Amino acid sequence: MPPDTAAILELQRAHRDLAATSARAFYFSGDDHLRLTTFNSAAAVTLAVRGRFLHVDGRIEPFDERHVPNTDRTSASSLFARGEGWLLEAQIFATAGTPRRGQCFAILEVVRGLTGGIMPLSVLAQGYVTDTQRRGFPGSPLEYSTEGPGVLRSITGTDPAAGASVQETVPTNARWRLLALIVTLVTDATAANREAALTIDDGATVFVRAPAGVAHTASLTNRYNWTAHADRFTIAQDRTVTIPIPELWLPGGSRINTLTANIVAGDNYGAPQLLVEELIED
Amino acid sequence: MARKRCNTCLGIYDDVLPDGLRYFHVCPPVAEYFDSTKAPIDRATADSIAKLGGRYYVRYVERPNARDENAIKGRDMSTRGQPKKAGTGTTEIPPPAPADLVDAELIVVAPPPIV
Repeated sequence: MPPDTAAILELQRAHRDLAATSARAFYFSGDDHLRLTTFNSAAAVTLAVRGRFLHVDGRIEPFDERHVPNTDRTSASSLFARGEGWLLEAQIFATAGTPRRGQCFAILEVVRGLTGGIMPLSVLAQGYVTDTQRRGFPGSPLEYSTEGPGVLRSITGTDPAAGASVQETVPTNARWRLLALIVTLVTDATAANREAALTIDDGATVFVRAPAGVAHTASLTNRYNWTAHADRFTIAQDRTVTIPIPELWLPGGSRINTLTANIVAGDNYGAPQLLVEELIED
Repeated sequence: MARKRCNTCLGIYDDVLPDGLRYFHVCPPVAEYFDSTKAPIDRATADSIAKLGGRYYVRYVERPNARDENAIKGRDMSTRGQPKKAGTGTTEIPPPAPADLVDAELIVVAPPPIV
């Protein structure tokens, strides 16, 4: 019987592929499992973990798992049992939602145990994922959550009650680069020279204080625009005052406040509008 | 998405912003007033002093019953993800009328100069 050339070639190809993949495949003992941990701020995100697993009986099984992250930047984890064999490759991406870079940070690792004391053994992939950009094993570099560009966000803050100051806080597990903040201050008829300032603190201690440098008299509406990379100037007709601020990365819990000299009970700040670059901090 | 008023500081905010991300409200600090002898005074007295061109001192401290919606982090699963401080809660209020959505330019007749 003549040798089946096609079958021999197929067998040779399979051996070559196995040899090529064995250098990068990750052995799972049967007690080892995949764990996906995320830190996410975007709404309605679902992540998929897809890949191929080589079982000890030679079967190559594709898998497709799902994970729903939290939306408050706290960690959420899912465990996926795979059995004994070799993880050939895996990738993570968003199948629902549209997280941008800086919003959904994922860590895919190998752990031992499914319940109780779970021991992390190895990190396979780590970095931001979106609906179009993936993290994969093998191949993707391990990335820190605080490296690279973040997502640009325009945020409307709280409109405070009359007489109260503006305060915005960097959310838990977020890191902000404050690029601009604009807010309107309406003063009442009380005669006094108010002066607005922006302060930034670490949650307790002020480390930036940027006063407007102009007197804000009674019954006037001024816009105060604190902006990175700006020179200080005022526009009389529009009554806008632009004040430069340093471009700082602010960790979670940092506070951005107005501090207004001679403010009276009837003076009223509007809702501030902020432009920030945001990353996941944890 | 809802518009809320904080029952503690009366600040108004949307709990979900137009970009779909959650907003975590924190009450601003409250001012404590002191006269020129550093004796505590109330807000009305401070305003009266301001009207007369007098001098008073102000110190900002955390508002009593302040609300902080930021999530608690850490390994304690019983508290992780819960708001840091509930304060006195919030009241849902109707969305702004369309007129409020317009960014109205202020038109001032003969505006006084900025000094």
